[in-house]
Amino acid sequence: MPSPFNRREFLKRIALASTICGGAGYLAWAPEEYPFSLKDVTGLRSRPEPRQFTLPDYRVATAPGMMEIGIGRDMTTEGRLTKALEPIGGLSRFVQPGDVVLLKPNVAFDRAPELGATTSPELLEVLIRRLLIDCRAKEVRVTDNPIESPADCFAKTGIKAAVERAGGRVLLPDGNAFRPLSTPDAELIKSWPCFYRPLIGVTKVIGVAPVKDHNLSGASMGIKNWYGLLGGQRNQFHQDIHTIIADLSIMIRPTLTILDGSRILMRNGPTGGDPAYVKPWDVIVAGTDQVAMDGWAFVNLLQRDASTLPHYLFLAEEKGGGKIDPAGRIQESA
Amino acid sequence: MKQSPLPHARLFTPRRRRINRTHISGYEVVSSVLVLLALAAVILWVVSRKNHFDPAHQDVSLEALEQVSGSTVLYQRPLKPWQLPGTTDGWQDIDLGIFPDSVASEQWRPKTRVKTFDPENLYVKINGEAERFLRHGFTQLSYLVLQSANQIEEISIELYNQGSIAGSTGIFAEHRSPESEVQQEGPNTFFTTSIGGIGRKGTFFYRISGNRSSESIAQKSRQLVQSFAELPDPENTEPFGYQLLQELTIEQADIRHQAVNVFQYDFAEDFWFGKSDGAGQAEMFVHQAQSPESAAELLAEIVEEHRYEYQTIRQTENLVLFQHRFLKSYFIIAIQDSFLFGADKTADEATSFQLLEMIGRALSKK
Repeated sequence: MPSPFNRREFLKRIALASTICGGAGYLAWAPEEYPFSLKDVTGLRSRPEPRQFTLPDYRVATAPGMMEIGIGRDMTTEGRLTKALEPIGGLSRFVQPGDVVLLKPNVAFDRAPELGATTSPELLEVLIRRLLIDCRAKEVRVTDNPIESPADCFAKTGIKAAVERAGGRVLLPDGNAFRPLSTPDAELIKSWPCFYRPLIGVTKVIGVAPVKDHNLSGASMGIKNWYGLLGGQRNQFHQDIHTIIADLSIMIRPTLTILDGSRILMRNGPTGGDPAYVKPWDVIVAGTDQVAMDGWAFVNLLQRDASTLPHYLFLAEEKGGGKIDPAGRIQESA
Repeated sequence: MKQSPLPHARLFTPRRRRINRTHISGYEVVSSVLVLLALAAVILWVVSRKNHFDPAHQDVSLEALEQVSGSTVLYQRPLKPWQLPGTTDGWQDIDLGIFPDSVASEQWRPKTRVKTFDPENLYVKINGEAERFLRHGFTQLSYLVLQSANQIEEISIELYNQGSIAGSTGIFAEHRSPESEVQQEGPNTFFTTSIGGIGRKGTFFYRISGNRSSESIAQKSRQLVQSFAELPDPENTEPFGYQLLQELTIEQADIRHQAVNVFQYDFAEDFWFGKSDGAGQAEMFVHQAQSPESAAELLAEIVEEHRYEYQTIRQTENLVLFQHRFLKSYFIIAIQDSFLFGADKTADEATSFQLLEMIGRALSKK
C-alpha cells in the first residue's frame, strides 16, 4: 500500500502550518507599535471612534425690506421682546409651525439672576410661550453645558423653573451627549467635542445671551454664548480667548440671536457677585448678525468706548462671522 | 496524471469495530460494576448536597492562621459618617472644613458639604474669572451653600484663600467700586451688597450671595462676616508695604495691593497703594525693589513712560513731579535706597509733597 504522504508534501504542509501559526502569533503578541500588530493592552485601539458631525446653517432666508437687527425698549420683558422682533419681521418669520427649536441661554454659573451673570429667566419664559403658542413650534428645548454642576446652575438661576412653567424642556449634558463637531474654517476647534444630543432633530436654533463684562475677552454677549456648547478641556481656550470666540462665530449659524439687556453686568464679569455691578435696563436686541449685535451692545449697552471694541469682533469679521458695522441694518422700534 | 497522496483519507473509519478478545474475566466484570456503583454514589451525594456547601469544611483554624499572620488594617473608619450631598438631615455632622462652626445654625443649615477647588480646577467653579484670582496668588476656594430652615432662602459662600495679604487686598480692591461703602470690623474689611457681602480677612477673600434680597439674608450675611473673624490669621508676617501704610494711619479698607500692570505698565509690579483721609482721590504708593539699582531702573522706566501723558514740573536726582496734561492732577515719585514711593492723583503740588514727606519719614524709621 503506497504511503499517503511523501516527503515533499509533508514539508509543504509543515511550512504552511508554521506560517499560519507564526503569523497569528505575531499579530497577537507583537508590541502595539509594530506593523499589523493587533495587541491592545490599553483597550484604546478597539475603542469605537465617534463619528464627526457638522452643523447645518440654521439661518432663514433674508426677506427684502427687513432689518437684520432690531432694538426694543420697554418697561416689560414682553414689550421689549415684541419691539425688538418687529423690525426684523417678528418671531414667526424665523419659526414655523412644527419646528423643533433649541434655545441656548447662558447658564454658566450657579448664581441668582439678580447678579446678571446668566440669561434672565423671565425673558426665556416669555420667549418659550411665544414659540409654542404664537409660532406653534413642535418642541422647545433649552440647553447649556456649564462647567459647574449643570443641575445646580439651571436650578439656582431660576431658568429650569421658568422653562418648565412655559412648557419647554431642559436638556442637561452628560458624558455621552457629546460628539466631535467639524468646523473646517475654525482655528482652534476644527474638530472638537460639541454638546450634540440636544441638536438632534432640531430645525431652528436661537441664542439668548446676557450682556456682561468679561475678565478676559472684555465682554461676553451673543457669540461668546456658544462657548457653552463646547465640551472637552475647553478651559484651555482661555489662553487665546479672542480666537476661540471668533471661531464660535462660524461654528454655528443660528436662526436668531437675542441679547438680553435687562440686567447688564457692567463690571467684575463674568461671575459678578454684587448686584451693584448690574445695571437694570429696558433693552432687548434681536437679530441675525451676531458680530454687529455684539459690537452695538458693547458700545451702547456696556457703554464702552467704540475704539476699544474687543479684538474677537475683528477676527470674527475676517472669518466671515458677520460685519461689525450695523449701519443700514439696524432699527429701533418706536 | 498525478494523484493526490490522500485521495480518500478519513478521520473515522466506517467499518464495524472488531473485538479482539474472546473472554472477559469475572474479576474484571465485578470491578467495573463496583466502579460504576461508586460513581453513582458520588453523583447521588452531589445531588443530595445541592448548593449546601459547607465553607468551613476545609477551613484552616483561626488559631493556625493567627500564628502565621501579620496585622493589617483593611478599613479605616471615617471620623464622621459620610453625608449624602444635597441632604440636610444630620447637618451637624457635615464637616465645614475651613469655615468656622458658627456659620451654620439651626436656622441656616449647610445644604451640601463643603466643596474645595485649587488652582488646577478653579475654572470649574468660576470659569472665565479664575485667571483674575490666580493673578493674585490664589491657593484654595472653599464653597458652601446654606439653606434657611424654611428651605426658601439660600446663601452661597465663596471663601478664597489668596495665600497672602497682598493677594487678598488685591482681589478685594478689584471688587470694590467707588460707590462701595467699605467697613472695618476688627480684622474684617467688607462692604455689604443687596444680597450679601464681599470682604477680606488676612489672606482670605470672600463673597456672600443670597438667592434674593431679604432682611433675613442681610442679617445672616452680617453674621457670616463676623464669623469670618475666626478664620486663621496669616502665618507670615504682614508685608512691608502693608505695614508701612498702616503706620501712616491708613485704614486697612483703604489699602490695596496691585500685583501686575501698575500704572498700566507691564514692567511695574508689586506696588502697595493707600488712600489718606482728606487727600481726596489721591493715593500714596510704595514699592520695595530687589536692590537700589533695580529701583533706579524702574524709576527711570516709569518717568520715561509718564512723559507721554504728563508734563514734568520738577525733577531732581531722587524725585520727579509730574502734572497730567489733560486732567491736571499731579503725580510725584521718589526713590530712597531700594524703595520707590510717591503719590498719585493729587490735587496740587503742596499735597503731593506733603504725602511724599509722610512716606519718606515712615521709611526713614525703618
